[in-house]
Amino acid sequence: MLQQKVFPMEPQARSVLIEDDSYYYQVKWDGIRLLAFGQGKKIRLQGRSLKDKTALYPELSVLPDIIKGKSFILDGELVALKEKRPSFYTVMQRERAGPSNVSRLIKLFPVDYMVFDILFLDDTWLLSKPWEVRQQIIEKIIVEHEHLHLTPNYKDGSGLLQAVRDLGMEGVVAKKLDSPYIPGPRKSSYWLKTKVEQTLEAYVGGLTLKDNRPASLLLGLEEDDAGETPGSEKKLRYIGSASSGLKEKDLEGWYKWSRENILSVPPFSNPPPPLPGKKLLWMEPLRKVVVIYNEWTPELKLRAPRLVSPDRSSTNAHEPARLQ
Amino acid sequence: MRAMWKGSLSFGLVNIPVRLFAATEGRDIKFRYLHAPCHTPLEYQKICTTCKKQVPWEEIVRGYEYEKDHFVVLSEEEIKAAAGEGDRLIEITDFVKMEEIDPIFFQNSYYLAPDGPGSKPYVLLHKAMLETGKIAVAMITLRTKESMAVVRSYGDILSLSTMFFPDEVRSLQEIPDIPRKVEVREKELEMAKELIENLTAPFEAENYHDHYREKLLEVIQARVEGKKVVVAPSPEREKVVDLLEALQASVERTQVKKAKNKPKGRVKRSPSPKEEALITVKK
Repeated sequence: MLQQKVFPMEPQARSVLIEDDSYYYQVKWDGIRLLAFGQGKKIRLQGRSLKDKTALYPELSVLPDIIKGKSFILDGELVALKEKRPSFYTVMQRERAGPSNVSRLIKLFPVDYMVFDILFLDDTWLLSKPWEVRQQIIEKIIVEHEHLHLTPNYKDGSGLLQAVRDLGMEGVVAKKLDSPYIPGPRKSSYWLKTKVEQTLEAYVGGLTLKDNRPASLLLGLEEDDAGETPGSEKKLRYIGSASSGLKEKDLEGWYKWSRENILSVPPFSNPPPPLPGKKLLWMEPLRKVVVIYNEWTPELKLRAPRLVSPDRSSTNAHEPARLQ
Repeated sequence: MRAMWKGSLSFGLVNIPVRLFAATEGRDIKFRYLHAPCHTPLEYQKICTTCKKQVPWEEIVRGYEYEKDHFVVLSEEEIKAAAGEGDRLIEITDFVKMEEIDPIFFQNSYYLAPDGPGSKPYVLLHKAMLETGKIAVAMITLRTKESMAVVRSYGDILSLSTMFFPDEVRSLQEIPDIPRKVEVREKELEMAKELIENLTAPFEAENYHDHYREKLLEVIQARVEGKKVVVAPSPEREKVVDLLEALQASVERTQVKKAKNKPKGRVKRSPSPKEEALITVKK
């Protein structure tokens, strides 16, 4: 059982929340999908595409000791909290770590496993059991722990969606009460996800020029890593470019400002590749903008980013040396 | 490794696109300053002592102190203008013999790699310098600073070392207590030379270690293993429980609103006992 390969169940996307008494609602955690296989004292962690991740998250090796069951398969999402909400960007810094960095990153980016389903318990497969029964089972076997939590269920979908919006989280998944667990990768209509828009603050580290006119801003987030010395240069990870939401006047303003703060080398550790017909201009990452985005791509870029009106954001200059 | 600069190496009529990589890295052990009672890492703030406030970046200009407490303020434009075009060129001006340049001029070393296809001129230059025993003197602008540099064959690649300008190397005359007119006897000189002869060996860089660093690392390692380490208080570890509580509170708020706004029959009834069991609320 421990070596079993299972694709986790995948929800279908709905732009409008389904509101129906035959569904319960859970927060859609913005993190990394993870199945946890436990048997005796042994644990194996498996990702969405069946990849083994046991070595990446040693803090979950305690699961067999905590969970009340001799063997189990749990489904859930790994999240890392930052500023009181799950941050995909932060958890990805764990996900991308090499094996030698794991012990250092555990302290820097601790993760939480938000369990929301169970597939197997004590030598019995539970896939055909209704969702509500599976929920009653996990409630009985899961004990709150530093890195282990149960995802709460809500009956009021629109209320949860509003709460998720208020707290700046990713979205809501509706789950049909009487539905079985259908392993992916095909998306099942028993689970329906609805996302809300999210925002973040990003540094502007450059801009693109098209026919010598400013076309878009190059955005970056700080690579918050340890061992940095005070006053040393900030390293940014490039997370995408955006022009939507900016007026031509705003872009011209950024262009003018960039010429006063030009850099000959990119401030990004992963600068974007040269684009045909566009020139890239680097600038000191001193100013931040507020970005609205739909989600992250697997390459850790923003999908469909839009900038919030600059009078609210671009005057917000930051001390360049160290920001916590 | 990430290239820190891209440009081209030019000599005569040939232009070779190249990428520049740092060749060396200091490995000194860095300590951070902590506040002794709580071990929180200290942060730096720019404070104006006249205005008694922390200074945001837009209120900072650059001034040159031409005499004590007297400054000329230069705008970023003026500073940039002086830097010139920054035309991303390593321009070779002369070829010389290595021995002609004293190591005191050398500043930082970089590796040069050909950028893109057409690496033949790169190979040619490498081989030609190797066979003639010559190295190239060049000018390069890195960031805003223009430097003199040498480009030479190092192993199977080209390396570049930036150099100090002659006026950046201090005059020997500034150094005190140098005995410049002392006679030595022939015999003493012979003995000194003999001593040198006896200690002569091929240079093997691996034989040299940073003992200070090794010792410090030993102490640090022992402390980490013995757990006698101080840990900065971590306000960082945010609790899921807090998030779940905030979520619960927020859902309840929306329900209160709904109950107020919506006509009676449409308000969702409270959960039945079975439903109640389904709602996993954390305390």
